[in-house]
Amino acid sequence: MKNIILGIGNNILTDDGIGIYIVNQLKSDFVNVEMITTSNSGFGIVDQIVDYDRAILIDSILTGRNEIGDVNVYFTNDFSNHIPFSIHSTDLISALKISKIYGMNVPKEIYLLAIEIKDNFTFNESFSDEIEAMKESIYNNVRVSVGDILKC
Amino acid sequence: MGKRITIDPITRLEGHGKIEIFLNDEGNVERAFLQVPELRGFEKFSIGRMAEEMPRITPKICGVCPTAHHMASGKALDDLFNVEPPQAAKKIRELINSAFMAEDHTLHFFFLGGPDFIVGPTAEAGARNILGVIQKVGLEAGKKVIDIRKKLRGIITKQGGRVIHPVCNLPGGVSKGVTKEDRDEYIQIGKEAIEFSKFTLSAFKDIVLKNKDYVDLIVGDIYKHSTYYMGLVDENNKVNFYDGEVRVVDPEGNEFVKFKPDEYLEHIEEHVEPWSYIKFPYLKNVGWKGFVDGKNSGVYRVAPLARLNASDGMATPLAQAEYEQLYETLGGKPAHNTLAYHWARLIELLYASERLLELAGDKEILDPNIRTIPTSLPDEGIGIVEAPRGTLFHHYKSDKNGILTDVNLIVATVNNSAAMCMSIEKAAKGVIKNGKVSDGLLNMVEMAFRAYDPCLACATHSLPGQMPLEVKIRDIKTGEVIKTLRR
Repeated sequence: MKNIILGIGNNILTDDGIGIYIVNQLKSDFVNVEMITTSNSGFGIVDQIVDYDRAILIDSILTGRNEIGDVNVYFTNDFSNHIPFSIHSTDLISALKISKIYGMNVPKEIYLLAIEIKDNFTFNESFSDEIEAMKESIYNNVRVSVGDILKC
Repeated sequence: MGKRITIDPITRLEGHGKIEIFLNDEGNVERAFLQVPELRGFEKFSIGRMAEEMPRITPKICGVCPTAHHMASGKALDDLFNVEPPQAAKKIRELINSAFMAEDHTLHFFFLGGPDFIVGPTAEAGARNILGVIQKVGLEAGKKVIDIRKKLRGIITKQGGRVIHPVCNLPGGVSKGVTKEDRDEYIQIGKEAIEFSKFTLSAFKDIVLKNKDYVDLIVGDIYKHSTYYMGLVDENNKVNFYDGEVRVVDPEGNEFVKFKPDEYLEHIEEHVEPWSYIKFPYLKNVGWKGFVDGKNSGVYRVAPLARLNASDGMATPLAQAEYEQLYETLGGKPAHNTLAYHWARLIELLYASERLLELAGDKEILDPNIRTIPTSLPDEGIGIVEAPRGTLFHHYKSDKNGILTDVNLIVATVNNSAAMCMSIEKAAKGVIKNGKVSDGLLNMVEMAFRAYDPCLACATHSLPGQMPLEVKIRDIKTGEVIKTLRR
């Protein structure tokens, strides 16, 4: 099975870069798996995962419903009732729907590993105190989840 | 009993913003505001950094126009280090910027503004998106959009180093030249982009201009403001996205001023209101007279229609023909019709595609001399380019070691902030009567600002989540919520 892992974020927006940080750490744990860090969204992500069998997207999320540092696994179906957020580049779910309409070879399995964060709005190259204190445990949680997914 | 309607957050607008509409006792609109409730503070974040970092950092302000920030920043550094890039470097930058403009304008038409017309202004909110557009214009059209977008982004990726946050610009030039093989590919993409632009303009004419209701909407009074217009022009006063002087015309179309980048502070000032973090730039030599249009008000507009109004034409033949048709149809120049921004944007799409082909076909672009190494001490630099959403100003000051001491950005959308407020209020007054507020009517209010393709600069990405449009109607006296509408 052809796997790809994406670390998604913007590393000058405080905690928004956590996905990039984690994937850079994971590179030494899963040396045979292709990994990319990116600030892309929507179709830009589809471009990067097309022709893979399985994609694992690691990104930050700010719902306010989870504890900061929680790692939750979502599937694209979890967002079936969403309303698009960024239309300039379209959102991932719409991009995937459209890609399927046109027969593009998008991965059959897409996992979204979402890390609950505190702040993705302030311009800052450092994480918030909370994420900074937890980043190693977050990395360990993600590493275990990724390992489990790759075993399937 | 007075009421307040809040549209928060606005759909299909990058960044954070909300619309507040106040109804009087009769249920008619008294005032309407576009508010930006958060301060980003990017300039402060930049101070104390090495100036050379700016072309890599400024694109990360947002994920919508990173390439334009990269270009303005690169030009500001040329000026800061008093260095002139070689011709090949300038052409490579313009090539990348042209690819970006074409891609961005394509996305706006099919994803953002297009649904208003193609699917319909009062259609159900859930249908007013790209999927609705594909249903309307057919599967083949959607395939063309996806295909050309990918190819144009391919140029940015290859020459810019990275698609979303390019890294190629250096003080005095670029980091990577164009190979002959890449040039041949860019020529092919340029040709395809021209065909795509022609197809898109044709679809716009068929779907929009042949529909009397839509034409009435475009030329109608509720989407019209008589303002000054601003845009970069070349030595022949033709639209230019990358270089030239800033030209401003008055509401009658006469040249008001033409100035060089380093003179911008002599002509632009920013007004501040207590109810929004966004500033309201205006023409200093006309003055701030409030949120009003006309020759005595310093409010000006930027972006596609403004660029066309501020110029004497397009520098490429096919775009020039379309330019002439636009003004012939709208009854002369300048055109004050806000919804005509959509049409102007497609003419610019064609221009960007033609310019891309011209630049790719220019033998000089293969010249390996792509950088002039700076030799003088840095001091102050200003770079201006046209972003899809308007004129973009980067202004840096540094100490002699190149450490930034002062940074000022006038981001494209900000230039239109006063006009957007005016357009929203006028549209709201035009469509909301006697307290009747439907989802479709609110979309017609939103259309007033969506024509500007506004971007309030948010994060570069987001996991897909709920981002509902919430409309609250309140009793202005008690603050009690009388009605809530959600999409």
